[in-house]
Amino acid sequence: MKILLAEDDAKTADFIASGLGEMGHSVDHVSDGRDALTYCLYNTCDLAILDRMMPGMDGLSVVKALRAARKDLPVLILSAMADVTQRVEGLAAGADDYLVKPFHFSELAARVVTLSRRRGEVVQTSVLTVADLTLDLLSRSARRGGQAIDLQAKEFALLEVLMRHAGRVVTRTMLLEQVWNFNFEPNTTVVETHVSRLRAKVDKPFATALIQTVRSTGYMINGPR
Amino acid sequence: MDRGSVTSGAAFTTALRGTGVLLGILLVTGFLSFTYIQHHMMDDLKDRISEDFTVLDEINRDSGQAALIDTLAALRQPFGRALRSFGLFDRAGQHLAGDITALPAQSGWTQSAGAAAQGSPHLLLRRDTRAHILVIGRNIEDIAEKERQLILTLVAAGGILALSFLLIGYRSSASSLRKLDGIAKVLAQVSQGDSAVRLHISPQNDQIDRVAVAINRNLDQLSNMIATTKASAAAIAHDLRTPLSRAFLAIDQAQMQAERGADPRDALDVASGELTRLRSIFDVILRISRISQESNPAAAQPLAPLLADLAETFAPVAEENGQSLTLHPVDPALAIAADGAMISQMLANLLQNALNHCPSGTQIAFGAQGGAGGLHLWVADTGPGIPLAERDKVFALFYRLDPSRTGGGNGLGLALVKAIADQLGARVTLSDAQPGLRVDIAFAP
Repeated sequence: MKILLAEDDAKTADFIASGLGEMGHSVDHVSDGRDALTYCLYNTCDLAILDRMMPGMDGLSVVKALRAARKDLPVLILSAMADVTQRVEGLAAGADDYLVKPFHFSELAARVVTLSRRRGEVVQTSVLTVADLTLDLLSRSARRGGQAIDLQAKEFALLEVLMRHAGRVVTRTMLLEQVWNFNFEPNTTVVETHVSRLRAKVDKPFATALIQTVRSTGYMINGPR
Repeated sequence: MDRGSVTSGAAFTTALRGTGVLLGILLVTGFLSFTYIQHHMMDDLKDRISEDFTVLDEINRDSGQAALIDTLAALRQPFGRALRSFGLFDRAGQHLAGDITALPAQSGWTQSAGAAAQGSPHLLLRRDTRAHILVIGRNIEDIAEKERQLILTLVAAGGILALSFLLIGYRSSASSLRKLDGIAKVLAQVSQGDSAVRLHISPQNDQIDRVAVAINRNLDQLSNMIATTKASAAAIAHDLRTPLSRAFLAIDQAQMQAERGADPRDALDVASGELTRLRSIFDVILRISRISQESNPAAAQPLAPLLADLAETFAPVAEENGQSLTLHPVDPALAIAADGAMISQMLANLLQNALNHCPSGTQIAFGAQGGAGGLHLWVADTGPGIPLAERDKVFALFYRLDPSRTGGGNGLGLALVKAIADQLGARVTLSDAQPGLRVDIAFAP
């Protein structure tokens, strides 16, 4: 995947670029907002990672300009501004995701993978399937191997997020944002407890476990290979 | 104290102006009463001279000029100051009798400088009759003396009044200046970092004293704020140092492990975990300081689903801890015109506090109530509670009941709850749930 990285801090940019390079992406780096806009308008790339505060033009203005020019490439905003309102501003400007600095690289990597597929997911499906596990979003029911699984609302939402990103890592922070709508770090084991309850229902009674823990990052649901 | 500063003071300049006005009034009224008294005394004297004339005229008419001459001789005072004097002249101006020897040039009232009657000034009346010219004089030295005394009294009174006015003005100006100097000195000390100094309040309780009381009150608040800021800065430094030093150690360990070919990932996980903890502390501090700037959307937010969501989120955590979490039935009509995320974060913090600080077996309950007194949210537990003396302090940044314990919370939970409540105009109170802690968040009706 070809990624544009617009980040004015050289060290941060180096780390991100080399990390994404190791993941197999090719990264072009600019350190000015105007250069980022020019690049996105006249080159083809699959994803733009924009720092919110940059010389020349800030990240939000770049996204707005891109959306005005009907460029629909996925955009991830990086920002040191963590408030809910600032996050809402970022998404309202047309960004697809908003990641607050400082972040773990694994967090960025997980979001890059998610974004790279989001634009391709045109089909809206009402039934999600991973191996023999199915989740019916309309009847709000789950079945595995023909056996009905009784899920509580939060467990259902958690499984839905995992299954929508099947085969990809979903980080703890992404779960907190998407399942609980928490934009703060709870100092309790909310995510771990709910995942373990979900596992007790979805995995434990069956021969193969589908939900995997990804070391110090998050969780992933995957069918057996 | 600089004398120039005193004389330029408001009290002294007011006194100076007052003195000027007073002296002006004294001058005018003094002049008026002086001329009135002068006229009055002269008129009195003239009346008496006229009476003398009448008497002497009668003697002349009844007993003849010789008797008049005898009378005049008898009336003549041989020594001492002459109060009265007389002179009788013939029609040709020849002196006949009496101690007035020089005939005034014209008939009617005149004033002699004194040569006529033993050296003192006299008021003279010359009357010409067919037979002779009679001159009667009265000493006006007493009148002049009284006039002098009156002027002296007026000058003395004016002087004393002016002096005492100026003295009072000077003293009160000096006293004000002393107080203002004191204020300036204290404020200078405060600006140099000494926030413990306070202004002296005099028992006079004048305007400056009242200003000083207000300044002292502000200084109290300021030093309180400085103390809190200092304590917060120290607490922040301490609380950031702990995870930071752990991260350092873990990275060093990872380096050593990598050098000898061992797997450093566990140590790196520890470092990463500590840095994550550091980040969450930063997040909360930033959140607390930013909350006051966030605006509240006024759209009413139904409370029942919000609370049910929190119950569903945290009940499994409680169960895992061997505790229980129950939501008291919430009236589905209850709503609040505030940002739902803020309410949710505030309650989540209180619930997490209870989950983290209470032992296994604790019952945690929460709920919301409406009513005439306004909406109120509550969280109660049957845990160890908070001692009465600590209840105000727990809202401070990084305050922990047990300072030796670094695990559990980051000491920011209640500070954040308070900041959100303040922003929403709600009041947070801690009370004894007997046993345990009860937290009430009361919104204004």
